[in-house]
Amino acid sequence: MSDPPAAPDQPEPLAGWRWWAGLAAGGAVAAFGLAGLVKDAAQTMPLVWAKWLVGLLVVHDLVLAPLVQLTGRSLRQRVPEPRRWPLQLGLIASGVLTIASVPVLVGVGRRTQPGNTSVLPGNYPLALAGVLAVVWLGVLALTVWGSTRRRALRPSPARRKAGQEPR
Amino acid sequence: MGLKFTSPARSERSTAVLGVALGVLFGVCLLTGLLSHLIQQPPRWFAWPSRPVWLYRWSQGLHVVCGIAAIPVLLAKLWSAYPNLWRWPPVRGLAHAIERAWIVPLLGGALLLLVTGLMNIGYWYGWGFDFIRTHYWTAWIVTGAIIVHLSAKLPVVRRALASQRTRTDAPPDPERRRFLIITGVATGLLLLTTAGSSFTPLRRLAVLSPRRQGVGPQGLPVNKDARSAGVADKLDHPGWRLTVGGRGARPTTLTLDDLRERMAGPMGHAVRLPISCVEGWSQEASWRGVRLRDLLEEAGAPAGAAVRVQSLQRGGYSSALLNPAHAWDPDTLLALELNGAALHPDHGFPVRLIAPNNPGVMQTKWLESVTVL
Repeated sequence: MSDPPAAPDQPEPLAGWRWWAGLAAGGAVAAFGLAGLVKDAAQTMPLVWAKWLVGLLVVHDLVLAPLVQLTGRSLRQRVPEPRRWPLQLGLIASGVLTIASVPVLVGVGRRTQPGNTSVLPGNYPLALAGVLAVVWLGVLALTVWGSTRRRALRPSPARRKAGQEPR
Repeated sequence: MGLKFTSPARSERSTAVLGVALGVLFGVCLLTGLLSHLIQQPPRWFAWPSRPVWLYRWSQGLHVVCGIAAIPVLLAKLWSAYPNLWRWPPVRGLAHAIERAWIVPLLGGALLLLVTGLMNIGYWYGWGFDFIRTHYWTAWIVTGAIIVHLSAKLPVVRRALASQRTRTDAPPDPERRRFLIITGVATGLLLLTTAGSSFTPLRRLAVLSPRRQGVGPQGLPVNKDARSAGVADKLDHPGWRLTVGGRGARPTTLTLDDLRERMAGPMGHAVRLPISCVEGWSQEASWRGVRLRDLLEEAGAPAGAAVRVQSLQRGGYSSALLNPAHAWDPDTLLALELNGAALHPDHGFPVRLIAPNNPGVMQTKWLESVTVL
């Protein structure tokens, strides 16, 4: 390619037959889906469906994403590397595990079938707490490992000398 | 525009890597989802085989596992592309305006698929619309939007994934690599704590899964219990009979003792087969009962005919169509026993169907009739 590579956030020029062909093909597939959604309106409830679709976008773009941005920014400002990335790992893993566990934490499924003990059989708040405890123990271990490795990589002459002295 | 995004972890390359990963995950979900749809509502040209035994279990397990894995990957992808949302000016011409407009069905639809799927496996039907129909049609809409998105982004993806050596714009940055590693670790942790509801080696770790292998009556999870299905009062009825009939078959009426007698004789058979739920969980179990093909032959049914089994349950999922491959498979049983004991009411007492490579929802419980078609 002769044109220079764009920077990450640079807009990409759209042109060429590939784009228009892709638009036609993708448009046809999506139109098939939309037609089906409308055909089965009694079951799919397109207006409720649209509310969910837009609602999820809004929740992501205007609530979740800004929260993550702000957390990430303040972490970058306050915690230097190499202590930062284990914290990032801990926060991201905790967030993902918690978000994905919302249905089992809320536990509505138990009321759907009161006689079925095999639906949501666990104590999920406790289980999540246990998993998060393991995650944060890992974060702690990574932090300690990182700082000892850093010290080992740049040993001061005094310490090296001290290490060689017999006790 | 005054919004500044300063994280050095964002890069075209990590966005492209996450995009490819998402494409693979959504691709697997689409194919396995369509397959499950075809099996349950087979068109004329489609005949789902009864072998290999594990195929549906794997296919539907993958559907749910890949859907769950897509949650952190999608969130990471959205994070890495988030500055684009606030780019100024918002559109630069017609093609760009069209491309941006398609982001609404792309992201909204993808979020909707993952959220409704996740809620559905947790038995939380908090939306009002029918899950299966809506999930199915939304999948087509999202697939179309992915095709449009990919045709716009393909040059970017190609450039970003080009060998690092030929690149001059982005020297390897530990923060960028760490971002992908962290996404991978978070995804791995999520799978470790959920995938064991279908993937047996991880069953002890599946503490965040809505289902646990080994948990349920007779050590096996139940999709619908007898009381919820409205059959609890009909099961111990002394007047219960199983009728066999239909095209070319002598109408036969069997009591529970008749079936037990046949199970003790040459028609009796024991198999290890999995229950593979459309909601992704699955578990193998030991079943004992009467071979369906032997019963069909006894009634004089024409060999290779399709069969419909009907439950005492009424309403949805109360009957299932067995194509010839399933109806005449030597491992397809009318099961009376599970793991060495008579079926628990929630597992389909007095008799249920168990067939190889068959979705759980079609392994009809509480049978009252077998009809040759």
